[in-house]
Formats: sequence, structure tokens, C-alpha cells
Amino acid sequence: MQAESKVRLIINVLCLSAYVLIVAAYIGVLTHWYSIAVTALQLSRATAHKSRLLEENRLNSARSDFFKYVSLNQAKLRDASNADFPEFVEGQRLLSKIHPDLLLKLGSTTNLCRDVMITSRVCSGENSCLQCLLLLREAPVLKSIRIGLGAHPHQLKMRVHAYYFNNIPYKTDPSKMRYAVSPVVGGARVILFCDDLLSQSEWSSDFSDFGAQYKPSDLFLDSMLGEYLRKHVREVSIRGKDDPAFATATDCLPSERFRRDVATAANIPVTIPAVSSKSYIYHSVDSEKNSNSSVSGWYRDRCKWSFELHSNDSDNNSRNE
Amino acid sequence: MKYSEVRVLVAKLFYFVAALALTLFGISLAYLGFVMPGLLWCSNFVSNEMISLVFCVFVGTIGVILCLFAFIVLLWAVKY
Repeated sequence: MQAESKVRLIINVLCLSAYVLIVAAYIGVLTHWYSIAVTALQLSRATAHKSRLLEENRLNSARSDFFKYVSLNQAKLRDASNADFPEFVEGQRLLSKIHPDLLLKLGSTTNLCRDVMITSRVCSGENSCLQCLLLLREAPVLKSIRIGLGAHPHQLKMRVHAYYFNNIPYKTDPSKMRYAVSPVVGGARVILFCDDLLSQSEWSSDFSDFGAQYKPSDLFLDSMLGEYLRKHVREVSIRGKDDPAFATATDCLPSERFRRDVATAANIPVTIPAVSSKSYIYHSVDSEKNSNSSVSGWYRDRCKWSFELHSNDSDNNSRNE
Repeated sequence: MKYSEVRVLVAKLFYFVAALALTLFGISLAYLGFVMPGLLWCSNFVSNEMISLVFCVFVGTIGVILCLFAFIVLLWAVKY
């Protein structure tokens, strides 16, 4: 009996030892695989991080080169009459380093607010301008820039969000708008008139406060003047046609005249001053969204996203804040 | 050696082998259910959405249960 239990004990010990050894070996193998996988993971992450940093540095340097070049050659770019100009070729070469599908374009470079135009290589100019937006948004170095429409002749074909009535935005054709500009301290005062509005006398027969119900839209001034000039507008109001100032009012179109008058009243140059390499004016994408229900001209405009370069660093600093 | 002793010995060995097999299988399932998905996810080899967490937990839990069952079989083998 004792011998039997001894044999049983030996068998138990042997089997248990074998069991423990095999299980331990198996767990060891699995742990080894795990550590190999984790090491490979850390290695690949480190490599990816390093390559991302290198790519960021490369793009930042490409961006810096591009803007520096544009700022130095702004006048030549503005005066260039075709895309074969050496400045444009060089600009395009620098831009392609930021994103290969972005193109430097001629077009409204004669527009007072536009110095550099960027569009997409795949853009046909007709209803495909969203591609431009996507490409610009995808280009990492351009993400920090809000890119959008400035004042542009195309916009004159659109109905724009021109005024609020009872806090509801209303769109109208810019040709129905008139303006009167006068100088004030630190800028220009703009009074807008719209043919669609009720006259003040009509309005006052039922309600008292015309100005509280009708309010001009910043978007309208943005689209007509561009940000460079609009930020010099200190006061803006909208009035009915029976206002005495209506007699001196001028049609808002062509917008070049409007811009010139505002610049004269604000005592600033009508053209954009020489630029620094690091500062630029831009328009927000949000303001684009506000006008996206307009006619197809909006799409055509979006094909020509642009940067506006500007020399006033303090303005840009405050804008960046 | 008596016939009954041989039978007991064979049965013991069978239980030990069964316990071992269950343990290894259970550990494999637990590894696949609880460890591998995390590794795959962290390495971006598969996206988070591609891994069904419920399925992973299910597989891992089955593995753990198998391990526990294997332990019971092991005790059974020792006592046999």
C-alpha cells in the first residue's frame, strides 16, 4: 500500500513538474512575442514621429521660402501679364514644395486686394472649386492660415448678405446698394442705402427706430472692400432713400470706385502696402459659409482662394490673438 | 505491476495531458482576447473600429474559464 502511494506521489510530482514547465515555457514564449511586438511598436512610433518632425520642418521651410519670395516680388507678381513670367514660374516651384497640386494663378492680381492667387491643379473653374479648398486645407503648412475670399469682381455677380432686417439677414444684388463716404477720426464713415429697403418716413409711420431694425452687414463691406479697407471703416450705418445723404450717394458698383473713396476718406493708400514675409490678411471660412447659398459665382470664386499680404504687424498680431 | 495500477497510471496521465492541453489552449485564447487586440490597435495595424471589443472580451473570458477548468482537471488528476 505504501509502495503504491509512493509511486502515485512520484507520478504526481513528475506530471506536475512537466505541467508547470510546459506552461511556464509557453507563457515565456508568449511574453517574448509580446515584448518583441512592443519594442517594434515603440520603434515604429519613434520613426514615425521623427519623420513627421522632418516633414513639418521641411514644410515650414517651404512655406517660409514661398512667403518670403512672394513678399519680395509682390510688385512683379502683380504686374505680371502671363504665367510664363519668371517670378510666377519660381513662385509656382516654391508653392509646389508645399503641396504639389496647388498652383499659383494670375487672374485678379490687378484687384486691389489680391496679390497672390492659389488654386487647385484639378480645378476646372466650374463647380469644382471645392477641390481647391480641400487641397489648401490638407496642405499642413497652410492650415494655420484661414484662406478665403477677399473682394473679387466675381462677387459682384452675386447676391450678397447686405443687411439685417429685424435681425434676419437679407441678401441683395450689390447694384441695388449705394454708399456715401465721409472721413472720421481714424478712418472712414460709410452710409449704405438699399433700394429694397422701406423709406424711413414709411417706416416711421408704424415704428419708431429705423436704425434698430435695419442693420448693415459686415459681410457686405467685406465683399466690396476686402478686409484691408474694411478695417479702416469706423462707422457704418444703413438708411432709407429719403435720407438727405442719399442725394450724394453713389452706386456701390464698380467696387474699385467704392474702395478708392473709402481709402481717400480714411487717408490710406488704396493699394496694399509693401508686405512683410510673415504677415498676411485672410478671410475666414465661416464668412464663406454665410454666402454659400448664392448663385454659382460663389463656386467660381472659391476656385481662386487667395492670400492677401499686409505689412501691418500689429494688426496681424491682434488678429492672431 | 497490477492491472489496476496501470489503469490508474494511464488515467492520471490522461488527466494531466488534458489539463495541460486545456491550460495551453486557455492561455492562447486569453492572449488572443486580451493582449493581441491591444497590440494590433496600438500598432495601427487595424483600426479601433475593426476590433470588436465584445468579441475580444468573449474570447479572452473563454480562455480564462478554460484555464480554471484545466486547474480543476489538474487537481482531479492529482487526486485520482
